[in-house]
Amino acid sequence: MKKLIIIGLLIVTAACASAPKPETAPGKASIYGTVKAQSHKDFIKKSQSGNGDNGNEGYGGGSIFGGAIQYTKNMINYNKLSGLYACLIDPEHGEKTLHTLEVGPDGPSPRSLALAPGDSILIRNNASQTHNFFISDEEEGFQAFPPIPAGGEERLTVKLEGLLELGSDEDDSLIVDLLSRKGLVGKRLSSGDSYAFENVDPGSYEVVFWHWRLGWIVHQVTAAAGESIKLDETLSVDRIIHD
Amino acid sequence: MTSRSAKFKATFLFTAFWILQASPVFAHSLNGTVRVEGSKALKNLVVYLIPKRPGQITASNRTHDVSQKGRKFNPNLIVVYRGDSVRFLNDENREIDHNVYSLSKAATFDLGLAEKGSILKKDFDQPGRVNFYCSVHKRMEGKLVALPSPYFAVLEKPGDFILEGVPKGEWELTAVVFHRRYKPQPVAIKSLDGGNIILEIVKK
Repeated sequence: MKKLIIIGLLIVTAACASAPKPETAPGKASIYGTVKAQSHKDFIKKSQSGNGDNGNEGYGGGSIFGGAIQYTKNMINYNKLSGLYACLIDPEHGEKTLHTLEVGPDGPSPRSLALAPGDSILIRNNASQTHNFFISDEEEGFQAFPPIPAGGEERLTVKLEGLLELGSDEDDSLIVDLLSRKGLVGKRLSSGDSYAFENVDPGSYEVVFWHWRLGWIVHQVTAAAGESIKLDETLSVDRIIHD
Repeated sequence: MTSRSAKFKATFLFTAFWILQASPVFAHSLNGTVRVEGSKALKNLVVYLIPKRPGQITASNRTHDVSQKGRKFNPNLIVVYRGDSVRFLNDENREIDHNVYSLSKAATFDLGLAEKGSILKKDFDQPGRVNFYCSVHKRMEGKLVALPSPYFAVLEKPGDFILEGVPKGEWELTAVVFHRRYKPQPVAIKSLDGGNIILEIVKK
């Protein structure tokens, strides 16, 4: 009986977690789905096999779910991981977006941003010192910005493209990872969240799922008029794809 | 003397010359100073030499160990010569599993899961910078630099350095600077008898 209740609960939970199909206007298309993060497959396998039940950190010995991962405070809780992005790359998309970044005594928030060249970042400097922010790529690409005094804020426009870092002259531990792609429209999500790109023009797109610590996975999608394409994805280190 | 034996003698002398000039007996020291624009106290500067000619130096094939005790990579900055290996030791006192992976262009890898007492090994064949992480634990991350020569010095802060045992030849002196606001201005080294070399680190 107990097992039946659990199975029933799991079915209801799964149904609720499924991404709702968006309404699509005539002649348009939609891409939607759910994104989640997941522990390394070997960790999951060991957990499910019960081999970690002898007091190993993170392995849920004795759980009614038969060895589910029990995240401790030292571990990355993939069920609650935030900062996942679902991004549509639409080179025809010209609208500029304003992103917000808070820099405080505990570092930057958020820790990563997905954006397009031409987008702006409103940086609020809540730290006790002036910051000279800059953006750089792994090569010679570089953008310096005017200083932002403590308590001040400034709107900075990103020109570079690629995997970038936003840093500060004054604090070399302050790093914000940026994914910058032409035509990128991003949805910032937590693990298990749904996303939808509604009423896009029919055509071919790249859909990029990204987390700064887990890498990215890219899908090529072709959407016809009136079509809603469901695209779920799971980010974990064993599914790393590097273009 | 036949022409064949003369050819052999010449080849022998040529080979012996290259072996001797690359050997520690004929090695030199290179003294230098790192200066940073604006006197910024940059940390962990890796000063190193790049050989101007391929084959100027041979592989060392060293193995470096990294501890993971206490859910930390120690050391969390490793500098290796291209071709060296790194062993990631799970030397935890209790049953804690670790994973080591990297998304870096210079080396993209996932070494899988390691239980207490086990070792994960990775060879670094290409020069470059690598950020690596444990996928299990927060804030468990480290940096690795694979260099094109074994002649390097890691400086806690800008200042003087000595590179020992450098074979005669032409080199380029440069540095890995982790702070992306700054970059080195490489110096061509034509002679190792040239006194103190200044390596400037400037703002981009």
